[in-house]
Amino acid sequence: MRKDLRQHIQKLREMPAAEPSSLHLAVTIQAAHTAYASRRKMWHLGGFRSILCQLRFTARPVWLVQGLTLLGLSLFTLAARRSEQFVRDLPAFVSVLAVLVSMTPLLLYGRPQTYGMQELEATLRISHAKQLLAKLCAVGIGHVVCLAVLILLTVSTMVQPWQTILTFIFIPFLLSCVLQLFLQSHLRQHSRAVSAGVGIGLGAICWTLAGTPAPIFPSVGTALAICAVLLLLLCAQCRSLIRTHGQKAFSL
Amino acid sequence: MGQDEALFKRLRSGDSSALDALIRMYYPDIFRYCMWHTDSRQAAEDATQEIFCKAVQHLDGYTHHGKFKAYLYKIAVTTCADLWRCTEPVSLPVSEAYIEPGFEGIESDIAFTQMISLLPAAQREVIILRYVHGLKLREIADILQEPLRTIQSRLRTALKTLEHKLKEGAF
Repeated sequence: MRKDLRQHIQKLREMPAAEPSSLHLAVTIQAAHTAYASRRKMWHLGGFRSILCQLRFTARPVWLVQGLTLLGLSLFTLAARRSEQFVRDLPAFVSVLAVLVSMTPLLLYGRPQTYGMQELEATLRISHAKQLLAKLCAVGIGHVVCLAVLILLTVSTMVQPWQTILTFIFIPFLLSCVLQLFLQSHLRQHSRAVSAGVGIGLGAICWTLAGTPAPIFPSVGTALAICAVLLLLLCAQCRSLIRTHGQKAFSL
Repeated sequence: MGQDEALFKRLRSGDSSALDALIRMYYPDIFRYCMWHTDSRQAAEDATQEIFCKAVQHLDGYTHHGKFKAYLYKIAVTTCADLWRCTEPVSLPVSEAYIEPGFEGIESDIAFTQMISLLPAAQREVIILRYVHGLKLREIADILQEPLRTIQSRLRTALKTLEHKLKEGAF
């Protein structure tokens, strides 16, 4: 460094600054005290509270949509219950609703990334795998309620409801869930759009198959076997999703 | 650093007079920093007040590891950058600093300060923090949230530019 540059630089440190005003210092102290008193205090995030927060953040929108679906279903049923066509079209109707219910978690996908919740999730003591499992369980509770309502509707309307329940509620629902989870775990981009497309496609197929004048019903045993296989596939999908992505900062 | 720690202990135990002491301790440095980054005393005072209010509001989230000064400077950097963005670029406050008696005639120093103000913002920031505030390079890296190597390189480039201008006889 040149000598004159060094001298100039040394002078920078010694350069006399404007004297701070004691009046302004007092004002600053007062303002700081006000700010300190009105600051947002931090609170301890315990295990229970964190789960509650997660439920509120993750499951609430899904439950809301599921609730709206049920409300729509109830209103529609009340209006159309007496018509003969309603009983005839019920298998098609419930099969589409079952697919629709299975599609409600689409709202959940990518929500933590959108709202910057990943950082908070990463700081929790609960592992990613457990968090993912908790989310799946929370969504599952909503699914169980919706399916129960659909089953009740079918039981109260049809004479021999069990074949319809197995064929047009459980099979479309489980198939749709398996496909949704498969797509979520294998597609990185546009997974939501693709899942929605697949769900709509499946709903259309169900409507067509169940809406024919004489829908094909497999025997109860066959339907049960298909349901069991799909249930196993669903469990395997959940397990693989939790094992693969639960270790990373992946969020549903 | 030990004094800071004691003050924080008092503050955490509910003694708000510790806050006064903390502000009194760092007010001149922060005010001086603001004077270098604003075009008037009034703006510098406003910025200083804003910096302390911000610091105090987020004090619960700050974990004291003896780096409260760096924490304050970090807030000062962002606050002044915001001010800088909102207003016209300012020249460094040479006039106020030289109002003090005995400094009226030092034209070369004024020119040197103006030369610093012509440096790119990132380099100017390093020069100010290093030579005006006497911070270590590691502290500057921490404040500006840049790698140490980047800070070293910026400082080197800034010094080379100043040296070149001095050689040219820019003033």
